[in-house]
Formats: sequence, structure tokens, C-alpha cells
Amino acid sequence: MWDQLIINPMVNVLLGIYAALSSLLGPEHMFGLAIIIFTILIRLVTYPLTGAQMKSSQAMQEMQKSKKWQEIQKKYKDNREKLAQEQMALYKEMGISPFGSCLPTLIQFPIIIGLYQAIIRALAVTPVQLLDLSNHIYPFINGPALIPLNNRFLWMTLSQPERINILGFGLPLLAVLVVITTYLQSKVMTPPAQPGEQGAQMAQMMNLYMPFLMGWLAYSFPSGLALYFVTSNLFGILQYAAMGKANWRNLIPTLPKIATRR
Amino acid sequence: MNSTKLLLLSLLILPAIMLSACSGQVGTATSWPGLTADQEAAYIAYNQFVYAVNLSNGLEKWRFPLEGNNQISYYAAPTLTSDGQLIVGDYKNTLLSLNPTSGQENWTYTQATDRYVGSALAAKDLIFAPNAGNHLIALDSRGNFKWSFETGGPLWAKPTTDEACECVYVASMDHHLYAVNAQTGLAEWQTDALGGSIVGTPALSQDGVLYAGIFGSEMIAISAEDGQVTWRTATDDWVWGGPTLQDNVLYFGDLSGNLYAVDASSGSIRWKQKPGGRITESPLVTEDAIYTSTDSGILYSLDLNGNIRWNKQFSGKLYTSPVVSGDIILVAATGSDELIYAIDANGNQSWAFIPETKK
Repeated sequence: MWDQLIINPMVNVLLGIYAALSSLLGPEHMFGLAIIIFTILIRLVTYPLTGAQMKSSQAMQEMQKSKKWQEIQKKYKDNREKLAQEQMALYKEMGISPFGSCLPTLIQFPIIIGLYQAIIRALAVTPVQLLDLSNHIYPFINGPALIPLNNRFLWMTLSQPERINILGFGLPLLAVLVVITTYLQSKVMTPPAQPGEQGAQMAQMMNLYMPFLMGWLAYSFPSGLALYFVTSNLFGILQYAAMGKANWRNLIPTLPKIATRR
Repeated sequence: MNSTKLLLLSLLILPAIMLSACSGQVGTATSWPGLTADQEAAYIAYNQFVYAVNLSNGLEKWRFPLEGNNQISYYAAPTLTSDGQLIVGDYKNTLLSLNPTSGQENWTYTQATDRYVGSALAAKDLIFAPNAGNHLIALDSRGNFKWSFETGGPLWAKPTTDEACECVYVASMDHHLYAVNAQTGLAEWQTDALGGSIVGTPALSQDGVLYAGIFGSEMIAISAEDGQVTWRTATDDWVWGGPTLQDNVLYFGDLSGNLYAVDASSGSIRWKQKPGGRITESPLVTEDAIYTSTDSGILYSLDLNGNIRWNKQFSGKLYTSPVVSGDIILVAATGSDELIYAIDANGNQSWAFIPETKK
């Protein structure tokens, strides 16, 4: 089921993009480019989820700031059960789904895992992987003409973790880029917070953990996945900026307020 | 840490664990066993070990290394040389020579850039090792580097050679077949793009024709003199294993599970049989029988006219070519406790080898 719904379509779209690029430009570096294009496609396809997540976060934040909520908090500060009940009632009244902001994020996890598996399956560097791939190529893709995929992209071998040789040391440049872009993305995505807000504390924690988690994944796994992370992060930042939701003041606090369109 | 933070952290760590679980790097077999045999023993490379198994009783003679290392695995069929060495490559980048009697290491060659998927060829006092890093590497019998020859793709197929000429023929996943001078490592010729990768060893006839199956669903005959294609015969699916040539007939299978008998002179199909399951190996052909195995775990015995004589179900998948030694037919399995089964020509099992798990 997982194969049929997620992996196979992803593998075949990746191969289709690779085939189109290779026929236009030759196979050199084209699988890396295919991953970049595929990532942007995934970002566009999952845009409704991202949009829903943003709307939900915004509504949640407005609720946190509302006078009514502050009064409820004050009134039931010693009765946690009642406070939770009132919070749920307020969610309902304001049309907020409590899972609205985290559900879209959760849905993206299977996409990341599926993409990872699709990249590994498409690159097929061992007999078992190649035999498996041969079983999953759709008839309209000319698999034999494409295999083996050219797994070189810039200085990387996409089927292996990336290291760039600088003065004899193998530096994980892409993993560093993943940490930086994940941090940047989480910063520009985080709306301005009220002091002491619980949501702000959580966001702060996310902003700290997430870049290192993604960096660790990029460091340990084939660089094709890290390429996906970097592309996805950069495109995410651009998407936010284009929608006027990017909070640049989180990065550069001295920016005049007008620069942050909210 | 409060419960919300704990939940959040769990959600972040979860995908990392899931990704780790599906990476398949440690301990998981990424290929199938490589099997070879002499009169005394079967030699099988699988996962973390190379085993020598006594043919008379199926007991382990030795294993290499003594302690497994989950960073190093062996799948390419070991190669016996005329001067008494057993050559085997690993999935890191090491080619090693073992003493086939004791399993002691003679020498190693570690300069390759990638893994050894295909077996080495030992001929003309040299060892020709195909490496997935796009190079055919030639070493002398002491493991000293002689030359390397670069192709445009990984090399998974064991090379072949013609004793009469000084050439080594190597099939590449870059869709080409190359003839290389065995002494100098210089190209004699290369074919045009054939339409698909070649991962099976090409067969070479006495009259100088090479036969190679390609992923582009064809069996192709190529002149060993100049690399020109003589004929092409379409198959139903990708051809993975190399053909076995006997009495001017080529026997080979495809991934749809068809077994073909093709006239080597004309390329016409004499018969086609579909026993069931995908065929990745080269059939074993004896004087009066063909043995072919499939990923459904069944070994089929056919007569030379393509009639099935018997079949035998084994536990696990059978991707590896069956091997004969005297009266014993050896079958290597993937995904079962038994690594080797020994049977006679009628399919009666004499023993099965289950590697002992060291405590």
C-alpha cells in the first residue's frame, strides 16, 4: 500500500523528470536537478497544507492575544480541568482546530520518509535495490535507457552522505547548509510573540531542536536527502516571503516594522 | 521537561528513527550470495562472511573473517585461481586473496573507489576485478597493481576472456561492452550503446562471438574482433544473468521468468519456457539437463528441449546461479537460514548448510 501510494509515484515522477532533463541537457548532474525540481513540485502540491498550517497558527495566536482568553486564564488559573474545557469551547467559537497547526506538519513526515525511500530506490546502487526498482518502474518510463542514473551532482555523490574535501578534511557542507536554512526558515516562519506566551516557548524550542535534527539526518544519510532539505527550506522561505508572511524581524530585529507585513 | 515538550520532541525524533529503520545499511543483505566450488569445498560470500563448506558433509571448514563487521559485507562469487588462491571483493573497496584451504589472508588491495559486486576473473597470471567505481582493475597474482581501465558506468559483471587473444571483455552498466588488452589495459574496441546496462557475464564462443543480455530486453551477439553487433533477439523483459553457451545454443532467463534457448548462430528462439518467478541467474547446463532457479525459491530441472523434468521448492529466494561439483549441484538461497543446499541430479537433497551464529 505504502509502495503503491507513495513510493512508486514518487520514484516514477523523479525518473520522469530525470529522463526529460537528460534528453535535453545530457545525464551529467541531472538527478540532483531532478531532486530540486521534484522538491519544488512537492512544496507546491502540499501548499494547501502549508497554507492551512499558517492560517491555523495565526488564528491560534489571535486567540492567545484576545481579551476573552486572558480573562478565562485569569478566572480558572487554579482549575486546569475547567481551563481546558473553556479553551476548547473558545476554539470552537473562533473556528480553530487545535490540531490545525501540527497536523499539516505531521503529514509532511511521511512525505520526507517517502522521498528518502524514493531517492534510494531510484539510485539503486546494489543488486537488491536495482531488482526492486525494476519491479516498480511504470511502463511509460523507459527504465533501461535511464539506468544507471548519474548520481553525481556538483561535488556530491547523491547516494552517499556528502563531504567536501577541504585541506584534507571531509567537511559536511550540505549538512551545515541544512542546519542554517532550517534555522532561517523556522525563524522567518515564527510570528512575533507576546512575552511569556506558551506558544512562543514551544516555537523557540522547535527553532533550536529542528535545525540540529535535520542537520543530523543530512550528515548521516545520502546527500540526495540533504539536497531535498536545503531546497525545501529555501523554497519555503521564498514561499513565505512571497505571501508576505515572512517575519524578517526575527532575524534582524533592527528592521523597521513596516518590513514585516502581517 | 513538561509533557507538551516531550510530545513535541518525540514527534521530531520519530521521523529520524523511521528514516534510520528504512536505511537498510547495517546487517541487511543488499545482494545475494556469490557461490563457487572446487572438488573439495563450496565457497560462498554472503553478508559479513566468506565461508568454505566441506562438500562431503556440508560442514563449515572455515569462515573469513572470524568475527563479523557490520560495515563490511561480501556478495561477489569468490574466484579460484590456478595457483591456489581464492579472490573475493567486498562491498567497501577491498579485494582480498585467501588461502582456500585455511581461509588465511594472503594479501589485500584497497585502492578501489567503490564496492565489488561482480566476481574477479583470473587468467593469464593476472586478476581482473570489476569495480562499481567504473573501473576494471588488473593485479598480478600477488595483488600488485598493473593497470585500470575506466568505463562510463559501474561494473557488476565478471569479465570474460579468450585464451587465444590477449583481450579481456568487460560489460559495463554504461550500456557498452569493451575489449581491453590484458597486458596493457588499453581499449581494443568498444561497442556502440547497446540499449541497456549489462550486469551478467557475456558468453564467448570458440569462433569469436560474444553474447550479452541487456536490461533493454534483448540478447545481443557481438563480434569479438571488432565489437560489431551480429544479431539482436528481443526478450519479454530485462535480461539480468549472462547466457550459458553449450553446443551452439544460448540458455538464459529474463525478469519475467522466461527461460530461453536461442540458436547462437542466428539468434532465433528454439524454445521458451516460463517456469514461474523472476530469473536473475545464469542457468547451469550439463550434458543432458538445464538447472535454473527463480526468486520464487524453486529450482527447475529441464531437459535440453525445454521440458520440465522436476522442480524443487527451497526456503528463501534463489537469485544465485546453481553450481556443479562432481555429482553435486549446489544451490544458494537468500532470506532463509539455509545458505547452501546440496542436491543430486534428481533433486534429492544430501545436505544443507546453515551458518552457525557465533555467540
